[in-house]
Amino acid sequence: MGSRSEESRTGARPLFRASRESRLAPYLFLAPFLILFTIFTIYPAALGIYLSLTKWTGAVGQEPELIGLANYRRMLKDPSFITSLTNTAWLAVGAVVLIVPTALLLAVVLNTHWIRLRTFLRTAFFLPIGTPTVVIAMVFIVLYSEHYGALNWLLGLFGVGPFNFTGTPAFVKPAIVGLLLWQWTSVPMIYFLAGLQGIPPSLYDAALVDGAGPWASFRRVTLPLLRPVSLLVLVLLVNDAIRIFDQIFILLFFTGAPYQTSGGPGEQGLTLVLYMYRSAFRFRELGFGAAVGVSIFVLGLGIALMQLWRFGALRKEGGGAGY
Amino acid sequence: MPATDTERRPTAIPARPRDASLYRRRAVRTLIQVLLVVAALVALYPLIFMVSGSFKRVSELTSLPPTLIPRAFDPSGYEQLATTGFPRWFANSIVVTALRVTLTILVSSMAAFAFAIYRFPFRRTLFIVVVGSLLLPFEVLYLPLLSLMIDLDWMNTYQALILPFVASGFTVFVIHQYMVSLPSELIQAARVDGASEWRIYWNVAMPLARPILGAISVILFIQTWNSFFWPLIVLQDTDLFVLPVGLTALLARVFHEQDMWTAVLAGSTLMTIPMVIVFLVMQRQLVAGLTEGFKA
Repeated sequence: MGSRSEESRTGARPLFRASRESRLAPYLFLAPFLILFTIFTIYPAALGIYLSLTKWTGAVGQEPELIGLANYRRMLKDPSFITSLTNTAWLAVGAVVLIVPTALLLAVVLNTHWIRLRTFLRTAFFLPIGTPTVVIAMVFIVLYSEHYGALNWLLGLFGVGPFNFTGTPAFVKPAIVGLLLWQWTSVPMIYFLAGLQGIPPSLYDAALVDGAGPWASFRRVTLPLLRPVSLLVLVLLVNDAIRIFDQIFILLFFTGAPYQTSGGPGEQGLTLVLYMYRSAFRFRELGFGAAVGVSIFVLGLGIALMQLWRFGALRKEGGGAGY
Repeated sequence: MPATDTERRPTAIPARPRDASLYRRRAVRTLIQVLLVVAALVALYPLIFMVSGSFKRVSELTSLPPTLIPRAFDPSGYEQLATTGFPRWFANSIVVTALRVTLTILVSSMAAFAFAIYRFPFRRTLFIVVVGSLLLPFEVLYLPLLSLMIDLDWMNTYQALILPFVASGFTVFVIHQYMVSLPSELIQAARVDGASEWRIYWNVAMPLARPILGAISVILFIQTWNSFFWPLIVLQDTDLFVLPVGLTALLARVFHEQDMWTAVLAGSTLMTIPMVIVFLVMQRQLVAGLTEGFKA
């Protein structure tokens, strides 16, 4: 893969003889995409900013009414918004802290030459990718159930519990993170495996010759070389965490009236997107919801840039696409 | 831990392990192997539980200890499911997913081809705008898109589930990265042979890009099959529901009738099957696609 693509990425592509057909061709190929892209991405993005400055209930005949920055001002003063912000941050940190080491550990072990049942193990750890999110959340409702959940049964064997995991404020976030650990470890693991396979074995031989044990060669060879992959995993996980909705909406389905979730008891599971959903569809304030949407975007972008900058990954050498 | 100190020989070649350390290493490896198998079983447990639960009686499902294999095989969950809108939702999901994936691949690969093969004014700017849209999470677009759907009178329609997603910047980006690496001699040769631009796209570039198209299709399939928030706010007509929304409607019934639990698990199982099949069949391409995407 590598050498061929790099060559043609960096090297300028020769100009083709521009016949009339080939001068028109790029526009014809682009037309369907650009039309749909303009209608369904560019226009809504602009509209979103406009709507965030309006009062709009979505009721038939009620036109959005410009009210300036009032939505943003109100949002910043709303304790629930602050709660949703800290909840989201909590989940992001919790997910990263648990998932990154777990994924790395699994990848390292699966990558050793002596592990048996490799195909079975890989498939078992990959399978969450092939399971619908809504389904995962529904199964976890049963597993977490106070009266007949497997988790409480297991804890009961040690004489602990039973707990109402999704109904007790202190347990809501750990319960969500537990679900995320199950669902979100697979993809980082795939990335780590790919990263590990990209490390030349000669480096390990060299480390061995220098008298490094397994731990030393892991710390001095593996970890530094996995840095780019780790950065990618971190950015993806945080990005997913900021946008989380489906899992929590379902998992906390029964902690309020169905479809009316407020993020569980004490708003412990109220994340940014849930807050947006609640403002827009429960409180019927779509303009306000649009303001929340814009804030989610700004926040996500800011964090992603910060991570890239912090890791010094903002393109020192030509890893770019040639653009 | 017994103190089994092996003497160090001052050679560059690692010392041949003495018996004791060999045994210890073996013990450690066996322990890791066992722990990993346990971890794999834990990872599989929710799925095993779901399938087995879908064949249980509700009384068994809601009693402890949880049984791994149903004591009495009871397909009533599936029978009950058949009386709901589930069969219709399943068909809806298949139609919507098939159309959305196919159209996305078609429209986005054409754009990727144009960006990769031709030079034309504003190419760079356009490409940056398209790739820049990757930073735009769909959550931001939901409410304005909803307003657009209302204006277009597209609420409760399939095109609302399909068309807004067809122009996918992500898909263009990944396919473009692949097509740029195709040998340009091939394309020139086709041109010399008098092939039309469309034929170069359809008969030269697309077949060559098959690996990446496969990978992207799996990713798009998983995304669409999973898609929940958007259908939830756009669809009100029960007959038009797609699986995630339909299953949630069944879940809402559990609120009043606990008996629905086995039906919900049966529905979950049926909804998982196509995704798991696609995933297992395309696992290699998916992994390649994910890692290809990150290199780019």
